[in-house]
Amino acid sequence: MHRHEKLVLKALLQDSGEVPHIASCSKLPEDSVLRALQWLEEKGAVRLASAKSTSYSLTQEGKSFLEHGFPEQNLLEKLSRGTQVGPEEKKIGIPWAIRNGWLEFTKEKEMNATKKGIDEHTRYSPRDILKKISENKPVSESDRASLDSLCKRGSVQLKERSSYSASLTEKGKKMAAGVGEIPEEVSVIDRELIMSRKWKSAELAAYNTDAPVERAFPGKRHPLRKLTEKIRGIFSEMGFEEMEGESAESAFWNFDALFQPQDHPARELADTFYLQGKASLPDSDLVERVKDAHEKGWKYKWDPEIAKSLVLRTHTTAVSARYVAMGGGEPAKYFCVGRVYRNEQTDFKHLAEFFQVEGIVVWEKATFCDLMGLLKEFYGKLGFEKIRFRPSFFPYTEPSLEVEVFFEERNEWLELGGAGVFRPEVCIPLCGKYPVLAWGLGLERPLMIKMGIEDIRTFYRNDLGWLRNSKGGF
Amino acid sequence: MAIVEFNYKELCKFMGVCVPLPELREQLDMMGAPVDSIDGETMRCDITPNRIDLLSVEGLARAVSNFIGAKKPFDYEVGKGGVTLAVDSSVKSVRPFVAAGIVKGITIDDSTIKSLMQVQEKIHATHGRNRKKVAIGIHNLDPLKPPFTYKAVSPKDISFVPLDLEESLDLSQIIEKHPKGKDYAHLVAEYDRYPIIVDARGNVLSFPPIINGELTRVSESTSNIFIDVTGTSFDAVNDALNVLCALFSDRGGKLFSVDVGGRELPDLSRRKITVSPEQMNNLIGFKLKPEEMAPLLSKMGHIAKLNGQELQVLCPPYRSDIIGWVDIAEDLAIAYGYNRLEPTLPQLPSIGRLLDSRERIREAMVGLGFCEAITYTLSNDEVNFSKMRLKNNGKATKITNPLTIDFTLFRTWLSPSMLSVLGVNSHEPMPQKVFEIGDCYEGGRREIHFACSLAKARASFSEMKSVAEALALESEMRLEFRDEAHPSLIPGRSVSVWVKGEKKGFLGEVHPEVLNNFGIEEPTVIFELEL
Repeated sequence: MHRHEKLVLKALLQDSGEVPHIASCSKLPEDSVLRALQWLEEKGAVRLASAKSTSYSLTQEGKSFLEHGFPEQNLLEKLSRGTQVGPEEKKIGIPWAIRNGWLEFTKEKEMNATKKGIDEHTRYSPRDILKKISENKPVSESDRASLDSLCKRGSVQLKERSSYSASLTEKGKKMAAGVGEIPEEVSVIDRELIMSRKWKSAELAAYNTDAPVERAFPGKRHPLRKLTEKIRGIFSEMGFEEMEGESAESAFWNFDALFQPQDHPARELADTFYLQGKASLPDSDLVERVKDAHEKGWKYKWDPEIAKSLVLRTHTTAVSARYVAMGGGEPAKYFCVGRVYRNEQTDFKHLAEFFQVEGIVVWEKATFCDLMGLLKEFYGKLGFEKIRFRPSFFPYTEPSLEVEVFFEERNEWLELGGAGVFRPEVCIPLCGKYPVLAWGLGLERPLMIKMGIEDIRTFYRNDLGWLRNSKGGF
Repeated sequence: MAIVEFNYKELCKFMGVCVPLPELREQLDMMGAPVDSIDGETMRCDITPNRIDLLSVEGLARAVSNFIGAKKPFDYEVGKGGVTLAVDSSVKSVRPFVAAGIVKGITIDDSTIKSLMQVQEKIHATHGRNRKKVAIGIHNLDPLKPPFTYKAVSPKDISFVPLDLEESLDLSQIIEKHPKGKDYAHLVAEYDRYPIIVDARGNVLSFPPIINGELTRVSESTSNIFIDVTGTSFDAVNDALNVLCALFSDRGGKLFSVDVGGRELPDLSRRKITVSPEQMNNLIGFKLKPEEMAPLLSKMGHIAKLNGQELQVLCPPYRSDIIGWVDIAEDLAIAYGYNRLEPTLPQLPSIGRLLDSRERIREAMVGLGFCEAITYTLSNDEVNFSKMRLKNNGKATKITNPLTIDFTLFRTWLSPSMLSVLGVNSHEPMPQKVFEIGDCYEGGRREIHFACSLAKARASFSEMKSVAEALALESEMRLEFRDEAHPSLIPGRSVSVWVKGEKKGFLGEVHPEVLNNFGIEEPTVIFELEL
């Protein structure tokens, strides 16, 4: 039995009666009493009787009419005195005065008070009814028609109310007798209640579990970070060692070491961010070898000053070049995830800085087919089952290829990264060994497709609504 | 990449065979000239910058017809023209190299002119580095009287009627007045003498790399052509000349040589490269027999002959992209078909190793309910300094060629990024908790910073201090807090943060003026630390 049922039974055992009475006996709110009574009725413990009663009250307008008179009364008053008729008297007063037979219009369309009007308007019975209602006095049956009219007019409001009274059945009396001590109800549970064991004699208040609650926001990693972490995991599984470089890089490592001639369009101011200051060049033997490769391969005078320019790296291949040189040609598998930069206007398709990942394999026995196998494995781990290759061109790789993967989301093949074998003109000056396999891809574009994003800038806007609700991805 | 337009029917005409469009598309993709889009008969292909021979419909048709086996590789004949182009030493310091050739008996219609203009424009833009490295002039030969001279002259000394104008202008006037003159003036402006090509009568054919003369305009009545290519590298001008001569020959013209400073050009003989079949097999990872290689290479326009253990490859004169044996190896793989190659894995055992990506900090922050932001590392004076109530201390690494006012320097700290994020999020429910780990540069040195900020009603110093202490415990750092004012923070509500006796960061309530600057509407606390 609910605590309220017990309280109501106890109250009824002393005195049956209407709900307000039971409420005051049981110290419960009326709606709780009524609910408990309904439950008890279902159990056959109480008889519940309902009675309908009606009551009348004045509306705002009714109160005003009682105090200042009805507009039709005031109209007649003013007509008889010959004073100016107000808008309310015109709008509401005239129709009612006509209905009452108080007013007629002359041929010249002038208002004329009838004798009936002059007689009746000062002792107008609807006003008496308003007075009775305001004083809670009963309205006589002869006034019924006027009262209905006042209700329709909106001066009086009719209220219908059900009242319930209850008494115990024989079963109820037995149940009530069985109700023992009713424990105290507790809403806040505190340390004292728990440690003192007082909770044993307390009843814990129930909550309205439907009530809306405040929204909680979990902390989250950025979607791009989730992807970089996933890719780091894939490379690690595939036995690759992570490498790291700086955003500010010398043109030597970003371009020259990769056999990109000093007049190459990618090196122009319109594509590459140049930084204040100069970088230093690596050891002179290496510089000499790179210089030779350029002068033999491209037939121009290589300028060390141009190689010393400081740039924001345009690709993570700059990092690869450093590691290839550093490793001295020892077999190795390296990878890198990092920010790269292009001096481009930012719009929904382009960014001036974005993420690139790159993997390389330095091994004399490595083949172009090995590169394809690594790509299949890598993209497979990223979730792309279907992958194909197309010839392509990069200044520092030969053979080169473009990876196309099948996006189920779009139902089409899309380019997703480039790969190739570093040219001997790149490898031999850097480490004396050949070949080096390499592949790389940008992260934002595939993630856009996976997450259904149209504007690439979304990733860097960090809209909290988006971050908090972000779903999907790899 | 250059996007080049081709007409499907014209392409088929030059191929000498009609291949259905879907199959043609597949072949172009697999040949390395992928189709970007098709619109009716117009195809747009992505031509990589190394393949200037594919920038014309004639060249693309030639490559495809070789690739599908419709045509065998063939050679170009050049008759002796008996025409001289003398190269005066005055051009050495201005625009030292020139190449030239003659085409006779060509039929020119409207589509030929359009096609020629496209090739010239694309070669200029890519290989020619916007005419700096290479510039092409194509002339009607008939009004001219050889021999020709390439020389540099004083800008006021010579005048001629440039293309598209009626009046005769001297060279300096052309640079000032002619639209092309204005576009390319920067290529000659630094010199006191400008290069020109004149004929025996002193008529000016060309003022490279700016404009040709009206006299030699090519029209539908032209049948004999003189080509000049000038530039800063002999190989570059010669490569462009070969590509142009080959396509004129494909159009039915007969080629004749010009004696350019003692050298008969164009020289359309094949270049010999000796390659090792074994080396190519090892690189690609297949096991082709040497005799299987020759037919494959002919699909790419080469003529290959086995000579003992070596393969002698004769490359077409228009394939300037072939530098060494790896380029032949790539052609071999393309001819074999990339998707027929069997992917393998390198049998090189290794153990994966990861650097510290500060994942421990990230995990702690996410656990504390913070969202990770990733922001631009590039910033500007206003955001990095002014909005933070700081003066530029000159320690930021500046970009010398900024394209926009948004990105003029590399950020020196993360707090402006954090506040920018809060600034665009004032409409989002509070509390707002964000953090980032990212690169900064100060005094030319790379630093990795961590920052987090919290915005909400009654956000307080103590709340952020408790976050900092929790993070310190999680990541085993010992942080020490010392009272210190900071221009971006409220005086008396900020501390500097020290690690191992070194000042590494700060923590405190953000100054209301800074909040106003970033459009943040609620109190905000921030904590930044160099890691």
